[in-house]
Amino acid sequence: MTTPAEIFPLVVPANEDGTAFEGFLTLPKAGSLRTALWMRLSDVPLSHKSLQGAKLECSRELSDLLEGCEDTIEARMGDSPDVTSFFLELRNILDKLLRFRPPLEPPPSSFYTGLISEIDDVGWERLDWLCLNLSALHIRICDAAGRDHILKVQLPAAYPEAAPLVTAQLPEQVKLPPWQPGSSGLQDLVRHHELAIASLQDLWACLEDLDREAWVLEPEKPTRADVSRRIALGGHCSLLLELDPERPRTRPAELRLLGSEAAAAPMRARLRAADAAPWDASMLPRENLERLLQMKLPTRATSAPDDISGDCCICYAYRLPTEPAVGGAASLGEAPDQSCGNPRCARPFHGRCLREWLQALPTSRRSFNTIFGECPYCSQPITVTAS
Amino acid sequence: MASKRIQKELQDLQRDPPTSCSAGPAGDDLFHWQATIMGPGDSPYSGGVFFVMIHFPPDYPFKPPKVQFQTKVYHPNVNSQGSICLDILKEQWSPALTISKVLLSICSLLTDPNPDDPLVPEIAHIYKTDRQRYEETAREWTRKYAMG
Repeated sequence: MTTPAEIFPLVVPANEDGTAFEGFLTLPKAGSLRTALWMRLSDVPLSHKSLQGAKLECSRELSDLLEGCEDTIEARMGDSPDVTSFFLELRNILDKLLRFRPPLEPPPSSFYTGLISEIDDVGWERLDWLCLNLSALHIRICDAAGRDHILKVQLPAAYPEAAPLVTAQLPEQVKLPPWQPGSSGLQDLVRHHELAIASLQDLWACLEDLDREAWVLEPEKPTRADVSRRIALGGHCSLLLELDPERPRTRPAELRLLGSEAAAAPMRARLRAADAAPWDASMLPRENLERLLQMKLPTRATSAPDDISGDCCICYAYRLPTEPAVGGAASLGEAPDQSCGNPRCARPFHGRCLREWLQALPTSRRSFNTIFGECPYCSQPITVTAS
Repeated sequence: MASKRIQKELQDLQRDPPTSCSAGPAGDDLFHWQATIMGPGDSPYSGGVFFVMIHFPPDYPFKPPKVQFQTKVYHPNVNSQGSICLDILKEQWSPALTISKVLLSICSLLTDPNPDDPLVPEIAHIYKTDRQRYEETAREWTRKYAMG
């Protein structure tokens, strides 16, 4: 049987009852950690069922290393029947942490002197935030319309030879000049972003006008990187549009009407009949849409929420929930793809929701792959595929 | 899926509360609500405040919510356990209904009992044959259990 001493030989029992252990952790990959990792485990319950309630104290270096894993450790304590299994778990956690987060040697002093003089050039007043170990910083860029943009810069130890990792809220279509090792610096980075931001002023003006004067359904919280909007048109109908960041006032390449065919068809006809009143690139996209659709776009202030959102009238959501893909962000779920054919109802549904509802009803009929039933709202006939 | 819909119903209830009813989660569990119904003015339940418990099934809104009186009610369609005999809580349920509509239906059931589909046949019989006695007893129960 494994004993605690075989896992961490330098951690020894600290009392006779075996409820406390104290000592230094030895880890094969911890060679680069110059300070010893001291720990003390106390208040170990003697029930031998779980270590729940035990107290783990760590030296500063160890707790820095374990930062963010407190919940995992707590859970492992609860799962571990004895000290040996807990030490095994702890060693696994530490192994993983050391593999993925190797403790870094501090960069050479030239890194710091270089960085400080670069910030001098950019201007300290534009520095929004600086990481304590100077490995990351945020720079504030204010544009002509008074919008604040935050440039998040992460500096690798090999900076400035290695390119910094920069995140800013810009549309993905925007391309910035690549990092030139040896000649590029923070100032160039800021200048390139300032130029990009200046070129996007009209795009943001158009989008902000839409956000203000129309009812934007998606994205729920638009960022400056989002160039598409789904706006409500009323009658369970919505319009998806995507602006070109370079020419935001031209007719968007993507103009898609979503919702029940009964409501969408006349709107589509009006958009197509643009010969009579072509898209006017001197006007805002919203003004063009209102002119072509011959209507004032509904806003949150002027409309009732019920017939606006295009949400499924069974589950009340627009997107069906999805399982997040392994190792990736959750993909967008299915949008409502069915609607009641009765023009006065025209309520949208997810195929999946409508199927689940109709299948459970004794009054529904099934013929081949189609389920015939009634709209839950207006009781008019409605159909949905069975699979 | 159910929780999104329940959350939205809760928002709608808070934004546009129905007259004479209120409802909301009883604790941290979104699937367990408590509601109050004011006795309708034109009924013997007038002046009473009736507590109602609502349980949402995990497959809500495909299945109806379970709704039960916690306050004792003398009514042909409500039994001593607080169970309510109401078609929309059973075979007439539809996802087009909401808790707000269910509570309003219970309000109108208090005003207009349905003695032809009773849960308590004795009360239904009295309701049909001796309306005055029914109203007196209902008023007395309301005073006793649903006030103060």
